[in-house]
Amino acid sequence: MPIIENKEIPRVRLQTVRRSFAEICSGESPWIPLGKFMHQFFGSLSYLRLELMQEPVEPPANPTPEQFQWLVFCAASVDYLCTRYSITCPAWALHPHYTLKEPWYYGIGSDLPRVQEKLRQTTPEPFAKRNVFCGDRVFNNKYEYRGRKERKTA
Amino acid sequence: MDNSEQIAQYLEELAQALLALRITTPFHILIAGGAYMLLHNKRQFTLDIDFALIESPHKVSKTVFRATVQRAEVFNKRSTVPFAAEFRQAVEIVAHHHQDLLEDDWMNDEAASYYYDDAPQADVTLWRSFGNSVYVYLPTAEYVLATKIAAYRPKDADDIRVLTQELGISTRAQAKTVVDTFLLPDAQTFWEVNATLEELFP
Repeated sequence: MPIIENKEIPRVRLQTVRRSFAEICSGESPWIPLGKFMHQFFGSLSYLRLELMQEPVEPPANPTPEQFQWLVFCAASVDYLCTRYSITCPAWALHPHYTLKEPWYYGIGSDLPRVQEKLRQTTPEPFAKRNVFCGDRVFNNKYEYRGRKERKTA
Repeated sequence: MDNSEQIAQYLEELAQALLALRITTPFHILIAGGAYMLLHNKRQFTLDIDFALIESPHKVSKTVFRATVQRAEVFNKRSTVPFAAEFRQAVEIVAHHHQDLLEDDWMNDEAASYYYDDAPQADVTLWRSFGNSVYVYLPTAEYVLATKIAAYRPKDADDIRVLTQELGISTRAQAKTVVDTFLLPDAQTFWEVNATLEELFP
């Protein structure tokens, strides 16, 4: 594999946040592109985390409310992941416009008041401050999971 | 990967690579996750094949039987699984044959600890064997549903909906029965399964 700036160039296409959002806007079910992003971010391309997030998303000229929700979700995700992994957050993700006016409760049963209350309690701050309430399991992943009994070893 | 033929082709190549490495000891593996959903036409795409080793069955059978998930990983550099290094090498060989399509970890057991820690007894059927070296078993939909309910991330929501519909599960009690069959009690506590069931079946 060739090496540039001390990083291996991946053989496969980078599933950046920008690309993921573009695919959502083109009609892809959100967790297909976001799942690909997670796979690379936590797994095979974890050495390219900044590269996967640094390009700004390209909002459509007139985003639908749903597209805008996912845009804000993407910005919040980048903010959250940068905080969690001590990466300098790209400026685009911190744009004050990328905030929802109304709370978005995202998850099964999220129309129920008690589920909304739980989501408010458990959602990490980078999402909550943008009015996205998705709980704290969004980025649970097998690559970092060490087992309930910490048995798994690297 | 977007169809079962593709998955079968890669597994066939994996078996050939193992043979080329002179490995004849069979690997018995359980395939779950996205690949399982794809093989059952419940999803259109998966990035990787999640697997976990199971104990060698006394008799290879196409009927449903209870299998024990091994407390072990192949993709662990300190793995004590016989020929684990060769298995990893075979996975790498296949990845290099399909450089533009497959990532290096196209097949991995990173999620195995979920299965052996939380739901170590799986109901499975033999799907296919490849070159007498890779035996692939698929869990029942009930088992997959139980593990998905434990995980309960937003990305699992669609799979949970599809599986509950397919199994005709419409009440909390029905879902609890499935969960109790496979998920250990301490796993249910850890993953807050009761709260999840209350959300799924208000």
